[in-house]
Amino acid sequence: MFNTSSQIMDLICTEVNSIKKHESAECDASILASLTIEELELTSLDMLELIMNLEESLGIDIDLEFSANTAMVDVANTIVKSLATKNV
Amino acid sequence: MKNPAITNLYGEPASNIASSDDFIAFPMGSKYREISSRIATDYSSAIQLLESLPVFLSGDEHKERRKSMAVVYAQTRKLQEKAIDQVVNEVAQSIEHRHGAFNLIDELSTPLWTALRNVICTESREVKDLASELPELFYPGLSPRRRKSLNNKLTNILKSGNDQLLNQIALLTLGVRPFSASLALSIHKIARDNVGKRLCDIVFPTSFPDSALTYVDRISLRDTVIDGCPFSAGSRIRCTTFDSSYTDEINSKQLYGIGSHTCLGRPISVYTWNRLSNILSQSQKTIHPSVLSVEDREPFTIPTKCLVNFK
Repeated sequence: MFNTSSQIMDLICTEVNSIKKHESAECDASILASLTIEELELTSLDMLELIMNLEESLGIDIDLEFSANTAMVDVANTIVKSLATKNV
Repeated sequence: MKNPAITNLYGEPASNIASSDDFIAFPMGSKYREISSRIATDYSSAIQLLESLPVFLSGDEHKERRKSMAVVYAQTRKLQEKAIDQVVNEVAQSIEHRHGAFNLIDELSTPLWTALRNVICTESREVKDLASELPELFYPGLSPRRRKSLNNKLTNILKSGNDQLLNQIALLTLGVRPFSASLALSIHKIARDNVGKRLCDIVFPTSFPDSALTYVDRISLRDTVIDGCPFSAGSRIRCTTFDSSYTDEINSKQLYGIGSHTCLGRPISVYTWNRLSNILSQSQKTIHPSVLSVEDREPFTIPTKCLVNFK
Protein backbone atom coordinates (compact mmCIF):
# COMPACT_ATOMS: atom_id res chain seq x y z
CA MET A 1 0.00 0.00 0.00
CA PHE A 2 1.22 3.47 -0.85
CA ASN A 3 -0.35 6.11 1.31
CA THR A 4 2.22 8.67 2.27
CA SER A 5 4.15 11.22 0.31
CA SER A 6 7.45 9.54 1.22
CA GLN A 7 6.23 6.15 -0.04
CA ILE A 8 5.13 7.75 -3.29
CA MET A 9 8.47 9.57 -3.51
CA ASP A 10 10.29 6.24 -3.24
CA LEU A 11 8.17 4.90 -6.07
CA ILE A 12 8.74 8.02 -8.18
CA CYS A 13 12.45 7.73 -7.51
CA THR A 14 12.55 4.14 -8.77
CA GLU A 15 10.65 5.10 -11.90
CA VAL A 16 12.69 8.23 -12.63
CA ASN A 17 15.94 6.31 -12.26
CA SER A 18 14.58 3.68 -14.61
CA ILE A 19 13.62 6.33 -17.19
CA LYS A 20 17.00 8.07 -16.82
CA LYS A 21 18.93 4.80 -16.59
CA HIS A 22 21.35 5.93 -19.29
CA GLU A 23 22.67 8.53 -16.85
CA SER A 24 25.54 7.46 -14.63
CA ALA A 25 24.39 8.91 -11.30
CA GLU A 26 21.14 7.74 -9.71
CA CYS A 27 19.15 10.08 -7.50
CA ASP A 28 17.85 9.07 -4.12
CA ALA A 29 14.39 10.12 -3.05
CA SER A 30 15.52 12.86 -0.67
CA ILE A 31 17.44 14.62 -3.43
CA LEU A 32 14.81 13.97 -6.07
CA ALA A 33 12.03 15.46 -3.93
CA SER A 34 13.30 19.01 -4.27
CA LEU A 35 14.15 18.83 -7.97
CA THR A 36 11.73 20.12 -10.56
CA ILE A 37 10.68 18.36 -13.73
CA GLU A 38 12.76 20.85 -15.68
CA GLU A 39 15.83 20.35 -13.50
CA LEU A 40 15.55 16.61 -14.00
CA GLU A 41 15.34 17.27 -17.75
CA LEU A 42 12.27 15.11 -18.04
CA THR A 43 10.67 15.61 -21.46
CA SER A 44 6.91 15.42 -21.98
CA LEU A 45 7.36 11.82 -23.17
CA ASP A 46 9.47 11.01 -20.09
CA MET A 47 6.68 12.39 -17.92
CA LEU A 48 4.11 10.37 -19.84
CA GLU A 49 6.11 7.21 -19.20
CA LEU A 50 6.61 8.09 -15.54
CA ILE A 51 2.93 8.79 -14.98
CA MET A 52 1.88 5.66 -16.87
CA ASN A 53 4.13 3.52 -14.68
CA LEU A 54 2.81 5.20 -11.53
CA GLU A 55 -0.77 4.64 -12.67
CA GLU A 56 -0.02 0.95 -13.16
CA SER A 57 1.57 0.62 -9.75
CA LEU A 58 -1.13 2.56 -7.93
CA GLY A 59 -4.24 1.66 -9.92
CA ILE A 60 -5.42 5.25 -10.36
CA ASP A 61 -5.76 7.73 -13.22
CA ILE A 62 -3.28 10.61 -13.00
CA ASP A 63 -3.63 13.56 -15.35
CA LEU A 64 -0.38 15.06 -16.66
CA GLU A 65 -1.08 18.48 -15.27
CA PHE A 66 2.39 19.32 -14.00
CA SER A 67 4.28 22.35 -15.19
CA ALA A 68 8.03 22.31 -15.79
CA ASN A 69 8.73 24.02 -12.47
CA THR A 70 6.80 21.48 -10.37
CA ALA A 71 9.04 19.81 -7.79
CA MET A 72 8.80 16.04 -7.57
CA VAL A 73 7.59 16.30 -3.98
CA ASP A 74 4.58 18.22 -5.31
CA VAL A 75 3.98 15.51 -7.89
CA ALA A 76 4.01 13.03 -5.00
CA ASN A 77 1.61 15.15 -2.94
CA THR A 78 -0.81 15.44 -5.85
CA ILE A 79 -0.79 11.67 -6.21
CA VAL A 80 -1.35 11.18 -2.48
CA LYS A 81 -4.44 13.39 -2.78
CA SER A 82 -5.69 11.36 -5.75
CA LEU A 83 -5.20 8.16 -3.76
CA ALA A 84 -7.09 9.63 -0.82
CA THR A 85 -9.98 10.56 -3.13
CA LYS A 86 -9.99 7.04 -4.56
CA ASN A 87 -10.07 5.50 -1.09
CA VAL A 88 -12.99 7.64 0.14
CA MET B 1 9.08 19.43 -18.72
CA LYS B 2 10.41 20.15 -22.20
CA ASN B 3 7.33 20.60 -24.36
CA PRO B 4 7.50 22.03 -27.84
CA ALA B 5 6.78 25.75 -27.51
CA ILE B 6 3.41 27.01 -28.67
CA THR B 7 3.18 30.59 -29.90
CA ASN B 8 -0.14 32.33 -29.34
CA LEU B 9 -1.32 34.68 -32.05
CA TYR B 10 -4.33 36.98 -32.11
CA GLY B 11 -6.22 39.07 -34.64
CA GLU B 12 -5.44 39.22 -38.31
CA PRO B 13 -2.15 37.29 -38.21
CA ALA B 14 -3.97 34.45 -36.45
CA SER B 15 -6.77 34.43 -39.04
CA ASN B 16 -4.29 34.55 -41.89
CA ILE B 17 -2.30 31.62 -40.59
CA ALA B 18 -5.37 29.55 -39.79
CA SER B 19 -6.45 29.77 -43.41
CA SER B 20 -3.00 29.66 -45.03
CA ASP B 21 -1.75 26.73 -47.11
CA ASP B 22 1.72 27.32 -45.66
CA PHE B 23 0.48 25.87 -42.37
CA ILE B 24 -1.11 22.50 -41.68
CA ALA B 25 -3.49 21.36 -38.98
CA PHE B 26 -1.97 19.92 -35.82
CA PRO B 27 -1.61 16.17 -36.57
CA MET B 28 -2.95 14.70 -33.33
CA GLY B 29 -2.82 11.15 -34.70
CA SER B 30 0.94 11.43 -35.23
CA LYS B 31 1.39 12.52 -31.63
CA TYR B 32 -0.44 9.42 -30.46
CA ARG B 33 1.80 7.27 -32.68
CA GLU B 34 4.82 8.85 -31.01
CA ILE B 35 3.39 8.29 -27.53
CA SER B 36 2.30 4.76 -28.37
CA SER B 37 5.77 3.87 -29.53
CA ARG B 38 7.50 5.43 -26.51
CA ILE B 39 5.37 3.78 -23.85
CA ALA B 40 4.68 0.60 -25.81
CA THR B 41 0.94 0.97 -25.46
CA ASP B 42 -1.65 0.21 -28.10
CA TYR B 43 -3.55 3.34 -29.07
CA SER B 44 -4.42 2.08 -32.54
CA SER B 45 -8.17 2.73 -32.35
CA ALA B 46 -7.63 6.19 -30.90
CA ILE B 47 -5.21 6.85 -33.75
CA GLN B 48 -7.72 5.52 -36.29
CA LEU B 49 -10.31 7.95 -34.96
CA LEU B 50 -7.96 10.92 -34.68
CA GLU B 51 -6.76 10.34 -38.23
CA SER B 52 -10.36 10.38 -39.39
CA LEU B 53 -11.13 13.79 -37.89
CA PRO B 54 -10.76 16.59 -40.46
CA VAL B 55 -9.73 19.02 -37.75
CA PHE B 56 -6.40 17.19 -37.46
CA LEU B 57 -5.90 16.63 -41.20
CA SER B 58 -4.67 18.70 -44.10
CA GLY B 59 -4.67 18.63 -47.90
CA ASP B 60 -6.45 15.88 -49.85
CA GLU B 61 -6.85 13.69 -46.79
CA HIS B 62 -8.73 16.50 -45.11
CA LYS B 63 -10.97 17.06 -48.12
CA GLU B 64 -11.85 13.38 -48.45
CA ARG B 65 -12.67 12.85 -44.79
CA ARG B 66 -14.67 16.05 -44.61
CA LYS B 67 -16.69 15.07 -47.66
CA SER B 68 -17.38 11.62 -46.29
CA MET B 69 -18.56 13.04 -42.96
CA ALA B 70 -20.59 15.77 -44.67
CA VAL B 71 -22.61 13.10 -46.48
CA VAL B 72 -23.49 11.40 -43.20
CA TYR B 73 -24.31 14.74 -41.59
CA ALA B 74 -26.53 15.82 -44.48
CA GLN B 75 -28.53 12.59 -44.51
CA THR B 76 -30.40 13.55 -41.34
CA ARG B 77 -30.42 17.31 -41.66
CA LYS B 78 -34.23 17.74 -41.63
CA LEU B 79 -34.60 15.28 -38.77
CA GLN B 80 -31.97 17.20 -36.81
CA GLU B 81 -33.98 20.41 -37.16
CA LYS B 82 -37.18 18.65 -36.14
CA ALA B 83 -35.49 17.20 -33.06
CA ILE B 84 -34.10 20.62 -32.13
CA ASP B 85 -37.52 22.26 -32.59
CA GLN B 86 -39.09 19.81 -30.19
CA VAL B 87 -36.50 20.26 -27.44
CA VAL B 88 -36.39 24.05 -27.83
CA ASN B 89 -40.17 24.15 -27.34
CA GLU B 90 -39.89 21.95 -24.24
CA VAL B 91 -37.10 24.11 -22.83
CA ALA B 92 -39.12 27.28 -23.44
CA GLN B 93 -42.11 25.79 -21.62
CA SER B 94 -39.91 24.73 -18.76
CA ILE B 95 -38.55 28.27 -18.45
CA GLU B 96 -42.05 29.74 -18.50
CA HIS B 97 -43.00 27.64 -15.47
CA ARG B 98 -39.74 28.27 -13.63
CA HIS B 99 -39.29 30.72 -10.80
CA GLY B 100 -35.75 30.08 -9.66
CA ALA B 101 -32.63 28.22 -10.68
CA PHE B 102 -32.28 26.77 -14.16
CA ASN B 103 -29.40 24.43 -14.93
CA LEU B 104 -28.09 25.34 -18.38
CA ILE B 105 -26.17 22.07 -18.70
CA ASP B 106 -28.77 19.56 -17.49
CA GLU B 107 -31.87 21.38 -18.70
CA LEU B 108 -30.72 23.04 -21.91
CA SER B 109 -27.51 21.94 -23.59
CA THR B 110 -27.61 18.24 -22.68
CA PRO B 111 -31.20 17.65 -23.87
CA LEU B 112 -30.48 19.53 -27.10
CA TRP B 113 -27.28 17.59 -27.75
CA THR B 114 -28.94 14.28 -26.85
CA ALA B 115 -31.75 14.94 -29.35
CA LEU B 116 -29.22 15.84 -32.01
CA ARG B 117 -26.90 12.88 -31.44
CA ASN B 118 -29.83 10.46 -31.46
CA VAL B 119 -30.69 11.61 -34.97
CA ILE B 120 -27.11 11.70 -36.30
CA CYS B 121 -26.08 8.37 -34.81
CA THR B 122 -28.25 5.28 -35.16
CA GLU B 123 -25.98 3.15 -32.99
CA SER B 124 -26.51 2.06 -29.38
CA ARG B 125 -26.44 4.39 -26.42
CA GLU B 126 -23.08 2.88 -25.47
CA VAL B 127 -21.59 4.18 -28.74
CA LYS B 128 -23.11 7.63 -28.27
CA ASP B 129 -21.97 7.88 -24.65
CA LEU B 130 -18.45 6.88 -25.64
CA ALA B 131 -18.45 9.52 -28.39
CA SER B 132 -19.19 12.13 -25.71
CA GLU B 133 -16.07 11.03 -23.81
CA LEU B 134 -13.76 10.82 -26.82
CA PRO B 135 -12.90 14.55 -26.97
CA GLU B 136 -10.88 13.78 -23.83
CA LEU B 137 -8.34 12.25 -26.21
CA PHE B 138 -7.54 15.79 -27.41
CA TYR B 139 -6.55 16.86 -23.88
CA PRO B 140 -2.73 16.82 -23.68
CA GLY B 141 -2.73 16.21 -19.94
CA LEU B 142 -5.04 13.20 -20.09
CA SER B 143 -4.00 10.29 -17.92
CA PRO B 144 -2.28 7.55 -19.98
CA ARG B 145 -4.49 4.96 -18.29
CA ARG B 146 -7.61 6.86 -19.30
CA ARG B 147 -6.32 7.13 -22.87
CA LYS B 148 -5.88 3.38 -22.90
CA SER B 149 -9.35 2.81 -21.49
CA LEU B 150 -10.92 5.03 -24.17
CA ASN B 151 -8.84 3.29 -26.83
CA ASN B 152 -10.00 -0.13 -25.65
CA LYS B 153 -13.67 0.88 -25.57
CA LEU B 154 -13.31 2.30 -29.07
CA THR B 155 -11.65 -0.90 -30.28
CA ASN B 156 -14.61 -2.97 -29.09
CA ILE B 157 -17.07 -0.71 -30.87
CA LEU B 158 -15.16 -0.26 -34.13
CA LYS B 159 -14.53 -3.96 -34.66
CA SER B 160 -18.23 -4.53 -35.16
CA GLY B 161 -18.81 -1.53 -37.41
CA ASN B 162 -18.04 -0.01 -40.79
CA ASP B 163 -17.00 3.36 -42.25
CA GLN B 164 -20.48 4.71 -41.58
CA LEU B 165 -20.00 3.99 -37.88
CA LEU B 166 -16.63 5.76 -37.85
CA ASN B 167 -18.21 8.77 -39.59
CA GLN B 168 -21.02 8.93 -37.05
CA ILE B 169 -18.62 8.66 -34.11
CA ALA B 170 -16.39 11.31 -35.70
CA LEU B 171 -19.32 13.72 -36.09
CA LEU B 172 -20.37 13.26 -32.47
CA THR B 173 -16.81 13.50 -31.17
CA LEU B 174 -16.24 16.80 -32.93
CA GLY B 175 -19.70 18.16 -32.17
CA VAL B 176 -20.41 17.44 -28.55
CA ARG B 177 -18.25 19.97 -26.76
CA PRO B 178 -18.37 22.92 -29.16
CA PHE B 179 -22.15 22.57 -29.35
CA SER B 180 -23.24 21.84 -25.81
CA ALA B 181 -20.59 23.71 -23.86
CA SER B 182 -20.82 26.79 -26.09
CA LEU B 183 -24.58 26.82 -25.74
CA ALA B 184 -24.52 26.79 -21.94
CA LEU B 185 -21.71 29.37 -21.80
CA SER B 186 -23.56 31.62 -24.25
CA ILE B 187 -26.84 31.75 -22.34
CA HIS B 188 -24.90 32.39 -19.15
CA LYS B 189 -23.09 35.26 -20.86
CA ILE B 190 -26.42 36.71 -21.96
CA ALA B 191 -27.56 36.52 -18.33
CA ARG B 192 -24.39 38.33 -17.17
CA ASP B 193 -24.75 41.00 -19.84
CA ASN B 194 -28.44 41.56 -19.13
CA VAL B 195 -28.88 41.10 -15.38
CA GLY B 196 -32.53 41.18 -14.38
CA LYS B 197 -33.81 42.08 -17.83
CA ARG B 198 -36.91 40.54 -19.33
CA LEU B 199 -35.97 38.09 -22.07
CA CYS B 200 -38.27 39.97 -24.44
CA ASP B 201 -36.27 43.17 -23.87
CA ILE B 202 -32.91 41.59 -24.66
CA VAL B 203 -31.37 42.02 -28.07
CA PHE B 204 -30.11 38.50 -28.65
CA PRO B 205 -26.87 38.25 -30.62
CA THR B 206 -27.16 36.63 -34.01
CA SER B 207 -24.80 33.84 -33.02
CA PHE B 208 -23.37 32.23 -29.88
CA PRO B 209 -21.83 35.06 -27.82
CA ASP B 210 -19.41 32.68 -26.09
CA SER B 211 -17.52 29.63 -27.22
CA ALA B 212 -15.99 26.53 -25.65
CA LEU B 213 -13.37 26.43 -28.39
CA THR B 214 -11.46 29.62 -29.01
CA TYR B 215 -8.41 28.65 -31.04
CA VAL B 216 -6.97 26.33 -33.64
CA ASP B 217 -3.40 25.04 -33.77
CA ARG B 218 -1.35 25.14 -36.94
CA ILE B 219 2.11 23.82 -37.82
CA SER B 220 4.42 25.80 -40.06
CA LEU B 221 5.48 23.86 -43.16
CA ARG B 222 8.58 25.95 -43.75
CA ASP B 223 10.73 28.66 -42.17
CA THR B 224 8.71 31.85 -42.20
CA VAL B 225 8.31 35.28 -40.65
CA ILE B 226 5.01 36.44 -39.15
CA ASP B 227 4.60 40.01 -37.94
CA GLY B 228 8.38 40.28 -37.81
CA CYS B 229 8.81 37.10 -35.76
CA PRO B 230 10.73 34.24 -37.35
CA PHE B 231 9.26 30.74 -37.11
CA SER B 232 11.14 27.65 -38.18
CA ALA B 233 9.48 24.80 -40.05
CA GLY B 234 7.50 22.66 -37.61
CA SER B 235 6.66 25.54 -35.24
CA ARG B 236 3.30 25.15 -33.52
CA ILE B 237 1.17 28.27 -33.60
CA ARG B 238 -2.07 28.74 -31.67
CA CYS B 239 -4.38 30.97 -33.68
CA THR B 240 -7.02 32.59 -31.51
CA THR B 241 -10.28 32.62 -33.42
CA PHE B 242 -12.64 33.83 -30.70
CA ASP B 243 -11.73 36.34 -27.99
CA SER B 244 -13.34 38.98 -25.82
CA SER B 245 -10.98 41.55 -27.39
CA TYR B 246 -12.46 40.89 -30.84
CA THR B 247 -15.57 42.62 -32.18
CA ASP B 248 -18.84 40.67 -32.10
CA GLU B 249 -18.70 40.63 -35.87
CA ILE B 250 -15.27 38.95 -35.96
CA ASN B 251 -16.21 36.48 -33.23
CA SER B 252 -19.39 35.60 -35.07
CA LYS B 253 -17.49 35.18 -38.34
CA GLN B 254 -14.81 32.96 -36.80
CA LEU B 255 -16.99 31.06 -34.34
CA TYR B 256 -17.06 27.97 -36.54
CA GLY B 257 -13.43 28.11 -37.60
CA ILE B 258 -11.77 29.51 -40.65
CA GLY B 259 -11.48 28.55 -44.32
CA SER B 260 -11.55 24.90 -45.32
CA HIS B 261 -11.69 23.86 -41.67
CA THR B 262 -15.05 25.53 -41.01
CA CYS B 263 -17.13 23.35 -38.68
CA LEU B 264 -19.33 20.81 -40.49
CA GLY B 265 -22.01 21.24 -37.84
CA ARG B 266 -22.41 24.93 -38.48
CA PRO B 267 -25.86 24.74 -40.14
CA ILE B 268 -27.55 22.90 -37.27
CA SER B 269 -25.72 25.01 -34.74
CA VAL B 270 -26.90 28.24 -36.40
CA TYR B 271 -30.41 26.78 -36.66
CA THR B 272 -30.40 25.88 -32.94
CA TRP B 273 -29.24 29.33 -31.89
CA ASN B 274 -31.83 31.05 -34.08
CA ARG B 275 -34.68 28.86 -32.81
CA LEU B 276 -33.60 29.22 -29.19
CA SER B 277 -33.01 32.97 -29.23
CA ASN B 278 -36.25 33.51 -31.14
CA ILE B 279 -38.38 31.62 -28.66
CA LEU B 280 -36.63 33.07 -25.60
CA SER B 281 -37.05 36.60 -26.90
CA GLN B 282 -40.82 36.16 -26.66
CA SER B 283 -40.78 35.50 -22.91
CA GLN B 284 -41.65 37.99 -20.17
CA LYS B 285 -39.37 36.17 -17.71
CA THR B 286 -36.34 37.98 -16.32
CA ILE B 287 -32.91 36.36 -16.38
CA HIS B 288 -30.27 36.51 -13.63
CA PRO B 289 -26.82 34.93 -13.70
CA SER B 290 -25.96 32.43 -11.01
CA VAL B 291 -23.11 29.95 -10.52
CA LEU B 292 -20.62 29.42 -13.32
CA SER B 293 -17.62 27.16 -12.93
CA VAL B 294 -15.51 26.01 -15.81
CA GLU B 295 -12.77 23.48 -16.33
CA ASP B 296 -9.96 23.84 -18.83
CA ARG B 297 -9.89 20.62 -20.80
CA GLU B 298 -7.69 21.85 -23.61
CA PRO B 299 -8.67 22.70 -26.26
CA PHE B 300 -12.11 23.20 -24.68
CA THR B 301 -13.43 25.31 -21.84
CA ILE B 302 -16.06 23.10 -20.25
CA PRO B 303 -18.69 24.47 -17.86
CA THR B 304 -19.04 22.12 -14.91
CA LYS B 305 -21.73 24.21 -13.20
CA CYS B 306 -23.72 26.73 -15.19
CA LEU B 307 -26.86 28.14 -13.61
CA VAL B 308 -29.13 31.11 -14.17
CA ASN B 309 -32.31 32.13 -12.41
CA PHE B 310 -35.56 32.92 -14.19
CA LYS B 311 -38.13 35.07 -12.38
